[in-house]
Amino acid sequence: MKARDLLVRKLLPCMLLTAMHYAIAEDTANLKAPASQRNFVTCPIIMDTEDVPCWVAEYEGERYYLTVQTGRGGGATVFPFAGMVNHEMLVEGTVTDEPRICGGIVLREAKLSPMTDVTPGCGKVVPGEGYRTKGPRPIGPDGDPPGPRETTAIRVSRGPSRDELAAAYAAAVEKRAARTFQVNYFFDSNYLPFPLEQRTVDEAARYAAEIDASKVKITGYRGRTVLSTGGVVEEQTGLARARAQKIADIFAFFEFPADRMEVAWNEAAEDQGGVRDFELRRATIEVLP
Amino acid sequence: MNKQKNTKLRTGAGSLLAAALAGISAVATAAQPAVQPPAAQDAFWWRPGSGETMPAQMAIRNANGALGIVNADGAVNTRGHPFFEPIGANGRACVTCHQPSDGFSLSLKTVTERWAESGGKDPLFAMVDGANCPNLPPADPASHSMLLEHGLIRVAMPWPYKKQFDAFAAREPEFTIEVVKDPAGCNLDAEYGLKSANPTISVYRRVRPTTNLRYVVDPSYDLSGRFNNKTGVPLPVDPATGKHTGLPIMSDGRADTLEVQMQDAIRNHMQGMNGELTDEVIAQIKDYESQVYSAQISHNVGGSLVETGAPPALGPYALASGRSIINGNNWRSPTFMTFEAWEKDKPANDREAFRASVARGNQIFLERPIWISEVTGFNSIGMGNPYKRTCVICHSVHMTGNDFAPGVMDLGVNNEPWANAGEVLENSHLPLFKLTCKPEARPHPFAGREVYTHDPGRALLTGLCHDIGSLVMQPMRGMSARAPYFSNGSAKDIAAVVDYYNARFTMELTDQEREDLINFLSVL
Ligand code: HEC
Ligand code: HEC
Repeated sequence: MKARDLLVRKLLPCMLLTAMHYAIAEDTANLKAPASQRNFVTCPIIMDTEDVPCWVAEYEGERYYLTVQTGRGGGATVFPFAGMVNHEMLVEGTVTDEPRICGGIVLREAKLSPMTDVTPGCGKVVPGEGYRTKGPRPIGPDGDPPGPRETTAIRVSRGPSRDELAAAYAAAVEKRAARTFQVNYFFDSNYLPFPLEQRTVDEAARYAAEIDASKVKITGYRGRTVLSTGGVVEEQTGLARARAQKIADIFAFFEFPADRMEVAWNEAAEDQGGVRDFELRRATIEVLP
Repeated sequence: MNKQKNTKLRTGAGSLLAAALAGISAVATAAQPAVQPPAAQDAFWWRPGSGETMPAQMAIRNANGALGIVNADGAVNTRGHPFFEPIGANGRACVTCHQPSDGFSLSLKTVTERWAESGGKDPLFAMVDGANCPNLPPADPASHSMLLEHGLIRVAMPWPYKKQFDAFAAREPEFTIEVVKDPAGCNLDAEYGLKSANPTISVYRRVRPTTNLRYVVDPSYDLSGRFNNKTGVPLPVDPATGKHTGLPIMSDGRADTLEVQMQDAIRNHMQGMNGELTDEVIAQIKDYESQVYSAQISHNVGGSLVETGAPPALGPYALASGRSIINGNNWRSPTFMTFEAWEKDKPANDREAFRASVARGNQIFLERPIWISEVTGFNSIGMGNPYKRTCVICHSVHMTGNDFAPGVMDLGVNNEPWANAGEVLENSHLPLFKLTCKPEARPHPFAGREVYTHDPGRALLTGLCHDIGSLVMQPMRGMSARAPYFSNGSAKDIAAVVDYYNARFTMELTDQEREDLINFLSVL
């Protein structure tokens, strides 16, 4: 099924009948993602491949490889979040000419966001077709089981290491530098993804306390994604505010004084023309000395 | 190699037992300590205020063999001890509901025996929560059917919630609650129900074991992050220590610490003292709870579980000396270590055959892939739905098998469509609520905007649709002593637990695998 059909058939009625969680704005119908991108809403497909499952999606009759089951929680910017069966999924990725994986064209930095509302029957587990994908985390307990090892895992970027982060943190404290932290989200979601974004907010709060920041400016934004078939999907209004508010609540919980917090939001849905639109689903935390 | 760290095992009076236990070394080389286990005695009712001394070690029979108990600090003089004395106003003590013979929980068998022996007059059946609803006729067994037939205690939760339970609770509840069915009669009651002057939701829950608690709440457990990775907000802080806690206790995590939990117990179960316990009493209870370990110690067919050479995680001695809190979801320190000693291709007799079956059960627990699906707090946090992995990813605290990652999960034991093994929820003895998420709220990730549930769980404290049905799991030890299982008692025996999973995650267990898992769980 084409994403566009799906949007028109499924989303428009849903706009009218139930809560409007994401929507196609009329004046954006002529926007279209560049050919290098694949941005579409679909139902997730999980291939039961050896050794770990493989997440793929179909778009215009072609299969795309999205990720293996990483066995790590998402992190909106680094890990490819995995989708959820019984939810539609927004796929955003860049086409590559790398060797196919699980029979699919490899999408680089694919971002997968399950849509908020439950869509029964959307998505499925299918046989592995004999493909073999080894993920960064096995199916059983972590680490190497007793016996011979095999280490041909598909690499999944994990972002900076704990040590690198700690060193950067210490250097900033030393200089009492003004720092801006960026938090990214899954489409239409206000969950702070585990582990990366949780760590970012945690670090921002620690930093603000440690340098006894004179001001912390928290700004929430909401985004939209330009689709490959044309048109956009847009995050719900109010999300920019909710994102900012939640981070402010977390700072308050960590006992950062309310009178030194400036909480703002911008509800104008932003995109980057279909290229890495996910970067604009964000909140920023500016910590000033 | 890690050196054994014994944070809690104090060598009280230099006892032989403690000395033997302290000798155990790192996980990889762990072995049963050379301790002579006590002779097994019949199960008995520990009468509150009996003043008896509780020996340093005990073995108490149950249907599958015997449960072993170790007081690591030595014998306990229970005279005047607040865990054992009826310090509230209704004749109950902590021990009333947390019985040694029942692995410090309360088995259904004990409940029915108590009713028979006391003619229903034991304080256990106090109307406050030992009855379906406080205003029913006390002498009528039907008034106590939840406890008498299912081993369930009434837990009364104010609705709407009081915000202090969770700093990140919704400002306004995200859902409305409707009582669809109320077999016990309390939720629709004019005096005690949802429409009463003090609107209350009554849910019915199993007693959780007050043993092996070092593995549940460990003061030395410094959470690596300050966040609850399942909800993406910070974890609560224990005011006494300033440390974050992992929502480890009570099935809805409503008590962040043992201290808070005790006040709750005194107030609600024991109707006493306005919930004000002195520091001394608090310390006494906490010390006691923190040093008592229990696990199955022998099996009718499998024999001794603590003899030299037995699998190193079995029995109470291993718990008394084991390390906490470490992650068991890996090959370095698997949750229940290794059962290699019992593996046998061609067992020579029933005992060896049983032991080999247990070893296979552990292997299934560790290694048999299942498609874990539709579990909020697990499949909803970026892992993917479904997610292929094994039992141990959730049952990951080394030695006890509760969850290493803080926070609550909705396995589905209370929610449609997974509750009651797919039976119609209306047919259940449990109350049935319909929770409707408001249009502006985010729905439950799997059940959607209308959720039918027997117990909203954590959502009764947070008001979040996301949390409907989410629960904290408990340690998996001493199971043979404390049927029925799951927080709502819906699994009447260990086989029913296994059957639940078999259906829930379409495991397609063979008869042999099913039996192996049952045998394995029965010796923990
Ligand atoms: C009427 C029976 C009853 C009495 C009396 C009672 N409890 Fe409990 N206890 C329960 C029930 C039921 C739960 C589980 C509640 C829930 O999950 O919501 C529980 C849970 C607990 C837990 C949590 C364990 C865990 O792993 O989550 C602790 C600790 C505990 N009780 C200690 C005590 C102490 C200490 C006392 C005495 C001051 C006491 N209890 C008295 C019934 C009782
Ligand atoms: C997705 C996480 C998850 C997985 C995977 C999982 N469990 Fe559980 N388990 C739970 C939760 C949550 C509970 C608590 C439910 C309750 O108390 O109502 C639980 C409870 C239990 C209990 C507790 C019984 C009691 O009342 O003391 C047993 C036994 C158990 N699980 C065995 C298993 C076995 C065997 C497997 C593998 C076949 C397994 N679990 C897989 C989450 C999981």
